[in-house]
Amino acid sequence: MLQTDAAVHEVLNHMAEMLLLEKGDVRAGVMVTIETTWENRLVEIGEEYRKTADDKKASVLSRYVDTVSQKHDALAGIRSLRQTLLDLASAHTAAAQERSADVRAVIAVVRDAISQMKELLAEARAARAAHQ
Amino acid sequence: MNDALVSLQDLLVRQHRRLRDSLEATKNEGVRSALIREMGEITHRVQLVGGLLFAAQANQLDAKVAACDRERPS
Repeated sequence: MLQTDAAVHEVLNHMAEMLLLEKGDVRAGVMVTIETTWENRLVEIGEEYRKTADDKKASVLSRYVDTVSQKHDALAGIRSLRQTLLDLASAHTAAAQERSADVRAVIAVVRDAISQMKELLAEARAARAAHQ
Repeated sequence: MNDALVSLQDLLVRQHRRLRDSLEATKNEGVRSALIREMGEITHRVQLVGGLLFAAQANQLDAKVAACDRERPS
């Protein structure tokens, strides 16, 4: 475990960077793409609200609120997965140095995070293929 | 290559934000429609660049995972 720690650390940090890469005030990655997509959707619904007759505004407003909620859920999910990956990198090092009591738990969480990341990769590749 | 894609996506997102600020500042219907169309275009570009960045990073990830396997004690 100690022998592979540096490489595992690098993989987990790389996966976290795929979700959100921050270099100074520059931000890029999956989270930025998703954030912008939802922001644009909200702008469109906001514009629709402006143009809708008063007696029909309530349903547009309700859709706006749902969209805000979906945006927050999507971003919270990604933020949480990213933090898990960063925590795992630290946990792996601790386990490798025998500072962690339960190595199996660390490995199980690493596997779970990798599996989530694989699903994300598969979805992104499928979406990309559909665009080509 | 990644640095260029990272900078490009960041630039596009900043542009999107500037257009959104302009939208809030205008009441002219024609200008608003043009701004919204432009924001849709920029969003599409953000998605395309995001897809390219993700693909490049996924390839690098494959190499890093292979390095993990190589370092694994037999």
